[in-house]
Amino acid sequence: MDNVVAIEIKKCSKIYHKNGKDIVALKNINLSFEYGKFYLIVGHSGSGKTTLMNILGLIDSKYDGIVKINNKEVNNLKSKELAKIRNTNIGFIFQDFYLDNFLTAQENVLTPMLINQKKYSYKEMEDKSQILLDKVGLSERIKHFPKELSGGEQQRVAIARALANNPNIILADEPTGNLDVENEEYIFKLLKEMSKNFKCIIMVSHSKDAKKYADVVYNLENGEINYDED
Amino acid sequence: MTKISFLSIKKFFRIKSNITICILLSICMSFMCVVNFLPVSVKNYWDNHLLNNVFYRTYMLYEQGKNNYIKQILDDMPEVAGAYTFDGYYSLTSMEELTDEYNETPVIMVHGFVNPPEVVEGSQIDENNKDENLLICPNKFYPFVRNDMVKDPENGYLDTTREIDLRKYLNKEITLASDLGDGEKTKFKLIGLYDTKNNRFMDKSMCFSYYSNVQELNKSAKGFSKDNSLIYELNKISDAHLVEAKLKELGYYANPSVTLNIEVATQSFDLFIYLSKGLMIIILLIILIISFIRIKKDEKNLMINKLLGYNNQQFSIQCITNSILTFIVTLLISMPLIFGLWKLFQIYLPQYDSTFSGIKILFSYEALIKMIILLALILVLITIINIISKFKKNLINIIKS
Repeated sequence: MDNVVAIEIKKCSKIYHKNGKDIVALKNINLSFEYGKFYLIVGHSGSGKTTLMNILGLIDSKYDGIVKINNKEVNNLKSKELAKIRNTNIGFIFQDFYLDNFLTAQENVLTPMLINQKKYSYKEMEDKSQILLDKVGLSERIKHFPKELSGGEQQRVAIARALANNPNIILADEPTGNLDVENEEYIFKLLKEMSKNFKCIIMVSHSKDAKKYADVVYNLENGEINYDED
Repeated sequence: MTKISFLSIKKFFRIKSNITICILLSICMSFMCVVNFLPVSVKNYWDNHLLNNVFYRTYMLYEQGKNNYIKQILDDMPEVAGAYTFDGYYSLTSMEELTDEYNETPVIMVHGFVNPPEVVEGSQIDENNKDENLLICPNKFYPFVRNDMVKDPENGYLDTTREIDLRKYLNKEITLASDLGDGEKTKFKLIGLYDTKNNRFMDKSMCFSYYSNVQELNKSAKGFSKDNSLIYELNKISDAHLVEAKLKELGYYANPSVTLNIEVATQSFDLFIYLSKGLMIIILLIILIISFIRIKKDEKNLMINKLLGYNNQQFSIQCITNSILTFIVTLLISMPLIFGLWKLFQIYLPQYDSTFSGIKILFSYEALIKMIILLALILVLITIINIISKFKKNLINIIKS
């Protein structure tokens, strides 16, 4: 799936209206993200990174321009269809992990599969979630609740959850922001490995080491993009 | 049940506030349920202990709403024109078979008491005003016990050892013999009868006392009379006027001096009814506050679920599953609570309130079903609020907040 475009955005702009003023978050951005590559988006605070991620993740649908996922325009889709795409095509990883504290590690990983419903029986889903947690080195912790896990472990659960429905696109917003160096390296390696499995990895990070793993780095400045390809 | 509900069930029992809500609801529901056993129990008691016990029957309906009370009078028991209390006993007046001639008659009293064999103190007939000694009584009754007699105007004295039918004496003058010492006989004109098919005037040891007019009644009902007239005591004077107006509509004249005193009985229930209503309001408020706090706290999970692809239908299933679980758990907690409270009421209520002495507190399935329906309605309301609040939340807004 090399050189196949996963996400494409054209002439994308986003303006916030606050206290009677217009704040331009993104200015006429044109970008495409391919499968099998690891993209890194960097930039100062307020440069528009999170806004871009929200648009790419179909979280924010109020913007100007065109967004295509797998060459299909998503601008005018209904919320139910957007939810379906988020569930099956995109995996999310966040700085704050966003795990459900009332569910065990395994149940957190199960959730996207349950939302997806039809494919597997509950037992099959449990087996699959166990395999995913095993992959991220948490096979011994599947029955633990998030509060019983360290930050690094929680992030690994979040990664396993992001992979639950085997999505082709992974969006990671500061995934190592709350982790130590050792865990950071582990997460980056994991993401890199995923990109080698023909997934499109898009990551926002302030980490200096992140560039070592990225195939493409986009630098956002005041809502505009500069990029270097290694 | 969908697979997602299975996870919701597991999650439900891990959230402490869910169980707290169930416990609060159970306490509230149990108390309300057992309080509602009381009117049923008292009604049953009086059904078996008082003649006709119209007072309690009408009171019970009154408690359920003023309209029901009126309805009771007009539809269910058209013969009842009013009721009064006297010295702790309850009587009724009947106008069912009043003749046209006496539609305007202000006299509406006569009824039996469980107070034999003595006539209630102060109920002597006013000898100087015999024209007003008008009588309405059951169509069948045992005349006075002992050696008192009722004089048959046509055939001499009546047999006092058997039940007599007074219908043939309607609109005729009869004489009742008083059992007060000298056997004084007083003339009455029988102006009305009421059907006794449902009353339990079966015990020969019962006699009835009578009042020929309101003034006489006033003399007797010392504790209840003011300004030489009895007082409307339908709790609210407006209710009494309403009853009066309805009676007028039917072509009857309701003497304003006739008392409908429900105060005595309401005292017995008011505390519990107000307590249960107050408790209900407080607990509903607590539940609402907890629900709103939970909605606020749950925003993170809502965001996670929306990000992971939950759609509105799945949110609805989640909310409905939670409500069904709350319903089931609340009922499970409520059942032993109801049973325990019921037993406590049985033991301690008669000690606390003498009104209940001798009254067996009955288990009322009707009250239980009412409680279950009420619980279901509360949960439906909370479910709707939850679903709407989840539908309204926009993913980007939750993330930003």
